Parts: sequence; C-alpha cells; structure tokens
Amino acid sequence: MMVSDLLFRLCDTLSGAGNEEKIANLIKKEIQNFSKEIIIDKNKNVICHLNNTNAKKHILIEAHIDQISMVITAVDDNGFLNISSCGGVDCRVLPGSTVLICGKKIITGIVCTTPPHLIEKKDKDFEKTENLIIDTGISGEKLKNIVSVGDYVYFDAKPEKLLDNKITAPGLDNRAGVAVLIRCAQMLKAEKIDCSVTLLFSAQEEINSLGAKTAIFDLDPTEAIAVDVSFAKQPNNLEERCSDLSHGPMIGIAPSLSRSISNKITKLAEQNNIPYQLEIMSSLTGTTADSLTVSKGGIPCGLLSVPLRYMHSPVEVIDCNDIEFTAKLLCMYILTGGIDYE
Amino acid sequence: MNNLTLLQKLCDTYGISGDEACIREIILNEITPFVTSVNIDNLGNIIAFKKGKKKGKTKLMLSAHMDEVGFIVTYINKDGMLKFEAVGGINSDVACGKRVVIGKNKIPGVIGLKPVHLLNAEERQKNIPIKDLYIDIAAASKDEALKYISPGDCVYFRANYKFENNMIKSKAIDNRVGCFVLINLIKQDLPFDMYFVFSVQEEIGLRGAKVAAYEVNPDAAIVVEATTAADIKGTSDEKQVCKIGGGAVIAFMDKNTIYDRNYYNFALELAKKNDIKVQIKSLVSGGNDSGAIHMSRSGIKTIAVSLPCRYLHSACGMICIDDLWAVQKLVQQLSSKICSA
Repeated sequence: MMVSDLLFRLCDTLSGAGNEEKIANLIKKEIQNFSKEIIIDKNKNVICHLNNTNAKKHILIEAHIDQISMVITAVDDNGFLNISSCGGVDCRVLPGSTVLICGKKIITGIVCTTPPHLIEKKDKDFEKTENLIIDTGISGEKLKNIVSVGDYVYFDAKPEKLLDNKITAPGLDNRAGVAVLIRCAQMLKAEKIDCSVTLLFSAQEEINSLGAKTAIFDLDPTEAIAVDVSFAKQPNNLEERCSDLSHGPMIGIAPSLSRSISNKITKLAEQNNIPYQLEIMSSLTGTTADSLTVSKGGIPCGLLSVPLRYMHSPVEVIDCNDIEFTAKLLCMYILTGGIDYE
Repeated sequence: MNNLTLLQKLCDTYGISGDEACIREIILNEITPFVTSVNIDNLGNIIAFKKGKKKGKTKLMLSAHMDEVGFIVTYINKDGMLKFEAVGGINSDVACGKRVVIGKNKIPGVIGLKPVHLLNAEERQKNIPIKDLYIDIAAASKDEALKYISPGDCVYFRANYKFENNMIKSKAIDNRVGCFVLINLIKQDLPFDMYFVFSVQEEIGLRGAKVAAYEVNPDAAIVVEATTAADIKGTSDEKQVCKIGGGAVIAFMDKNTIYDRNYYNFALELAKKNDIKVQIKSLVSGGNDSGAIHMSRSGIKTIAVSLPCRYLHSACGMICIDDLWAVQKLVQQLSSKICSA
C-alpha cells in the first residue's frame, strides 16, 4: 500500500465533525484486510480489534477522523449563504476561495470578496467566519431545493503531490493520523502480538472529542496512544513550538502525558534508527490525548504527531515519509508490549 | 459560437502580464485560418486583420487583453520558500491559503499561513501584506528549490474552471471572455473590414493596447472586457456597479475614460432594437484598455462592452452565461454599426 495513494483517498472523502459517515465507511473498507473485527459505533467511531486476546495488557491506538468544516446557517433568496465554522477554520484563507457545499448534491460556491477596483482602504482586515458570505450563483427556490441550513461546507481543494514525497490537501489534520493507523495495522498483520490491541478512529475531535471520550469508556484499555498532527516549522513561526517537516514523528512530552510511554517510544526510535523529534508542551496537548488520559480512573497516555504545515487551512502540507516512520514506531511499540513496567 | 470548450481552454491557460506566450499560441491557432493577415508586434500583441464584404466608412479596431493577474517570484529563502510580488492589482487577502502553479513547468505550490492556533485574537483578523507571505513548494532547501524555480518565474492561480447552473466559475475570466468574444466574431463572415487586437500587459497599466492602437491607427475602437459586478449580499444597490445576469455592461465613463457618447447611444439603441439585455454601469469605477486607446495619436473614438464578473482579480470569478451571449451579440451589432456610420 502506497501511503500517498491512501492519503489521497482519505482526503478526497469529505467528513466534518458530526458528519463522519463517509470517512468511517472508507476506513472500514481500507482496514478490512487487516482485521476481522471492525465496528462502526453509534457515534461514528470506527473500532478495530487487531488481536482480541484476553491478555492483561490492552493497548489503544487512537486517531480522529473528522476534519475542519463549516455549516450553513442561512440561505437567502439571491443565492447567498451564511456560514459558521465547525471546528477552528482559519477564516483568513476564505475570501476569494471556492468551497464545496454538500446539499442534496455538491455545488461550488465562492466566498465573497471585494475586488481592488472598489476598495478604498487597501490593507483591509479579515472578516470573522460568521460575517463571510458564500455565493452559489443559484437563486431562489432552486437553491433552497438543493441546500438547507445545517448542510456542511468544505474547502474546495483536491489532494496534490508536491516535491518528493510531500502532499498538500485540506483535511490532512487528521487523515495523516488515520493513515498512520491503517499502515500500522498492515505492518502488524503478519506479526504475533502478545497483548490486546484496539485501533480507535474517533469522531468529532474538532468540536469536543466526543468520539474519543465515549469510545475509550467502553473499551477500557490499560494504556493509550493518540496519533495526530502538529506544527511543522515555517517562516515566521515560533521555532520552539515547532518541529521540522520530513524529520520524523514528534513524540509528545507533557505533564498530562505518561512519561513512561514517551520514554519507551524515544528509546525504540533510538534503537531502530527511526528519525524523531520531541514536542514539549507545558500542560495539555490540545489533542484527544487530553480526554483519553482522564477516562474512568485514569489511563496512561502517549502522543505521536505527524509534522504538518498550515494547519486548518486548505493547503496543509505533510511528508508521507513522516507517516511511514510514525507507523513503524507505533508498530514496534506494540510488538514490544507497550509500557515497560519495571 | 456556443463552443464553451474553447472558453474553458482560454481560462485554464496560464499567462500573466509579460508572459502571454501560451495564451497567444492558443489564440493564434484559433484565428489564423479565419483572418486575412496576422502580426505579432514587438511587445507580443496579436494584431489581426480580416477583410469583410466591404471596406467600412470607419476603420474599426476591436481589442481584448489576453493577460491575467498573478504573481512573480522575487527571491528564494534559505529554507526553500519563495518570496513573491503581485503582477496586477491583487488584494493580499485573496492570496492567503491558495494553490498556485509556478513557472514553465507548472510546479505546484501553496501560499500557507501561520497556523490559527498560534495567533492571538488580534492577529486572527489582521491583514497580512503580500510582503509577509511566501510560497511553499515543499523544497527542503534553497538548493532544492533552485532545481525547479528561478527568481522571475511567473506564478498563477491554479486552473479551476467550472460550468454549473448557467454560471461559469474560473480564474482569468478577466479577460479570457473578451478574447473568446473576439475569436467568435473572427470566425464569422464580416460585413466590413475590421482589425482585431489581443493585447498584452493590460493588468500592469494598459501597455500593450497603447502601442497596438498606435500601430493599427484606427478611427474607432471597441474594447471587450470583464468588469466588476459587486451585486453581493450587503452591498447597497447604487454601489453594485452592475449585476450578473443583467446583460452586457455599457459605461458612459470610468476612472480613465469618458466614452464616446454617440457610440454609447448606439450601443443602447442597438440593444433595444435587437432585444439584447444591457445595463449601464452604476458607478464611475475601474478602467480598461480604453484608457490607453482613446488617447492614442490624435484621439480614437472608443466604447467598451463589458461582461459583469464577480470577484475579479481573485482565484475565482463568476459570470452568467446569458451575459456572455448578450456581450457577443452586442459587439457584433455595434461593430457593424460603427463601421457603417
């Protein structure tokens, strides 16, 4: 399986928070060759057991499946729509962009912008998402027959290859993490695993991590690792908060995470010559790991992140090699039995 | 005439000001079999002559510019990021988060922003000037970037043509629609001799049209152009300039030109007589090649027939197909009328 092909399929499937049916079905299809036990639960989480033994150790690996989206809040008579963000959309990328409006069919809209010919003040600031207007070019009843309030709107950009093994696409947050889990399942297929392993593809992270919170309650693992994306370096960014693209997975270290897990992962990366970077955070991580850790009586949790540029925009950029390395590292973590209790 | 495949080809072709070679090639291929003579001048304008059934009383030049707005690579950073500037009037806000293609080899790149998570409340709304933006082609270093890109390479908004629900949505509608209308006219039998100019460098100051008008030395000119339609939610009626779906746009004046009043009246009369939908520009704004043409030599009587287009100079404009046919019909009628007057 080529990671880039997999990512193209994942990113071509539009699924915002609360609307995960399509991506959940695709994930189920992609992973069915590597597991006999896959279910999609009532919250559209995809739960996949790799080795459902009665082993004491139960490792949960989690990645969220929803992506940044917008929802329609009003439809007027002249073809214009108002929107609200569903997840932290970067409203600065919207003026003059095309978006896909998923009503009864998919139509293209343009986010309104005033051309330079009519603007007196050149350096005008950005509008908040709630003040932006989408132009569909379809008016009256015809539009209302296609589009309703509550319908989802997505950035209009197909995945595209950049140099080497790098890809740009909207929704790489967190289809990159999803790809890591699927690759990991593939690598583990021929292996003998001593512990019980569950892959959780969770819903609604961009709103409140509903999927991760509810699924871990039922699954009750002995430890968990969240896989997400995090900030890669780019000009004008805080260097100390970012890692380098193409330099391997970011291993999370934070007061809220299990230091035993991060130490073990770091050790494995060193021993196996897998490139890695440390991502140090001073309290919470801003990922599902924050919720997984405090489930039930507390669950030791780690965090692996794929470096990504331009998060929450239509032009997110990742390196497929980073995904491959992250999958390998996870695979080794599982095969060596998770946390070492000394 | 209803050959929208050609319009898509024109819109999807990359060619900013000073870089019109590809679009010129396509236009030449289309028109050469149908014209009496055709010339490329020193700046790259296409100047074509087509004999009609007879010589008109007035020597007429029809003009449409073929360049589009875009960007140019000015510098490559040590980390392989490309600095750039706008070619033509582009607000920085429509550059943010866009896909672009760069240079002859059409290398894909993105204009990314600092992640929204790392911004404070004020920064989240604050304008970002083009000088603070950069293009990422995912090169690992300056050396790697230089294998694919050179300073001076042209940068284009990515081709995105769509025809949905009677509307065309695309980059470069300004002014490939004008080229399309002129090509369609050239392909017909004409009642009078006419000159056709596909001009370069309109977006950086009407430079091609200026020299073409000198060279052709006509008595009269018709400029075919896309113009700003600001008929969007929240804009008051008088500030909308014109409306898409409202028909061809005729102006009595804009920022550069006071149009010939006789021709202005001709246009309105012909539209009425032939049942062609027209609207009068409701704001003195914008400008086009007329600004250079009407001042050429000792002065050339000039009129513009424009197509209302929303979101001009952004990654995606929108026009109504009915307006396009209205412009086509009006240009056809008006050109004969002017030649015979």
